[in-house]
Amino acid sequence: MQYSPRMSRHHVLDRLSARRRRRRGRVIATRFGLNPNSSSLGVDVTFLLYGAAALSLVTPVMAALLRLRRPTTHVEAPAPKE
Amino acid sequence: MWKRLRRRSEPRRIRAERFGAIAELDRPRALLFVDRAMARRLGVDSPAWRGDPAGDGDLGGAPLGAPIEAHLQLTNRCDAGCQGCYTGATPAGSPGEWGPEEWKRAIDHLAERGVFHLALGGGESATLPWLGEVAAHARARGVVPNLTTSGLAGLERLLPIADLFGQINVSIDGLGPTYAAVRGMDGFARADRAVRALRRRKREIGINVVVTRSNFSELDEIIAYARRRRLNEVELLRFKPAGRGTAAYAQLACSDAQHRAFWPLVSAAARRHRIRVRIDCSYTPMLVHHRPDRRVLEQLAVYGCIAGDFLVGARAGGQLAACSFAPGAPGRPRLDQLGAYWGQEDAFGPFRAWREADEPCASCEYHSLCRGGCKAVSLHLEGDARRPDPECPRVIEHRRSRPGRIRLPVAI
Repeated sequence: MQYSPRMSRHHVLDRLSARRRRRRGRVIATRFGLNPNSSSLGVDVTFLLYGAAALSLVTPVMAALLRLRRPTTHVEAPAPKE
Repeated sequence: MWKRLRRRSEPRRIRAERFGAIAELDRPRALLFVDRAMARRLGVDSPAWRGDPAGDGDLGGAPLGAPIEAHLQLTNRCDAGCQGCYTGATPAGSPGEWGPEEWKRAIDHLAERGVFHLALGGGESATLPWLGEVAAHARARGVVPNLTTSGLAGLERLLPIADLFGQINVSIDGLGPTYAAVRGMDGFARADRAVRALRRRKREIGINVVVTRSNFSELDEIIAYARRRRLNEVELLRFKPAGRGTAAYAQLACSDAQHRAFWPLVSAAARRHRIRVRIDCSYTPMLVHHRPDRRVLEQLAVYGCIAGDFLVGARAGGQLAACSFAPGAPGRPRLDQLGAYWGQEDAFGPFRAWREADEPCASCEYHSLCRGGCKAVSLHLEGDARRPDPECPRVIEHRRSRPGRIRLPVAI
């Protein structure tokens, strides 16, 4: 990224942060818990009660936990057609 | 302690997908959908990503490479005879039911495809002498088995093998007389005994509640009951017109006013009683009616009908279906043929055709999440699973504003 004097400090930091996110990757979504119900897929909506702020605190923690160690088993499911 | 935390948080399995990957965490128990950059950091690099830059991070843009969970009706045998049973279970069960060897072979196939979870049900699977054998086999293949039981039979057989399951939920559709009003038989005392016995054995015990016209006003008390019994979750399910539930649907399904009041009531009860609440996929139209933050729904992967995509169902004889309420998949494939069937153009018929939606779904800002609501309800009330869910408040309002185009319900 080239610095230009017309860029604000926040603008530069935002772009650096976006580039860092792209390189490190991100968690798109998280499904919490297990679904024992054999008729339909339940989703934990507890976070809906506390809103985006609570979720924005939890998501980086989940990402950090994921990065702590690499998974033990990889499965390559064939890519589906669009 | 740090080592233990690292071991506990170690992802069990990771599966490459078009958008990146799905990784499974043990503690906290979760599935994480990550983009390609993070998938690469975790050691996954799929050849399918090359030449498809638009797919990076596009969760929901195409069906998954395989379901994340499979719902297995291990048997259709059950003595309870509940009036709304969605499988129409009987004491004799279904002809041609699979035994443990067939189920174990099918689980091998699902494990190879990268399926993460199983939801085992019936009928009453707890009475099966080989339930533990099948659950242990799933565990050995890295697939987490979970179980729903009525608690009315098979408890003595279930208690010693309870630790094999990730989560066990007991079906409790009401307290005391309400249970009998919903189910048409009085089994609350036995179901409650099962809840207490299982909870003494294991922490991951919850209840499934089928929400009907009869128990809607009692939801707060039912959630309070779960808290009193120190359960870890309550899962709320919309009543579906399948099995014997088809005949009982008009009598038991919630009214439009109840559907509109559902989310405010449930969210208040969950806060009040401080317990985790899950709602099933068919309740998404009633949830998005209250216009929650779309980004939060996306981040929690809250979807409407994900049958034939995130999940598949299998009948007691191994017949594959998009979900447990859906008719058998076109072409009548079996569960152990999932791999060959999954990638076909017309796989699961209308269940994957949600992108071609009628109004008002086509212009709804939540459509890519809700996917048109419950197709089992559309099939029953409209005669066509492709039609928008007719019990969605937005669909009802849209039709009220265009009275000349009212479609009469079709009973099938």
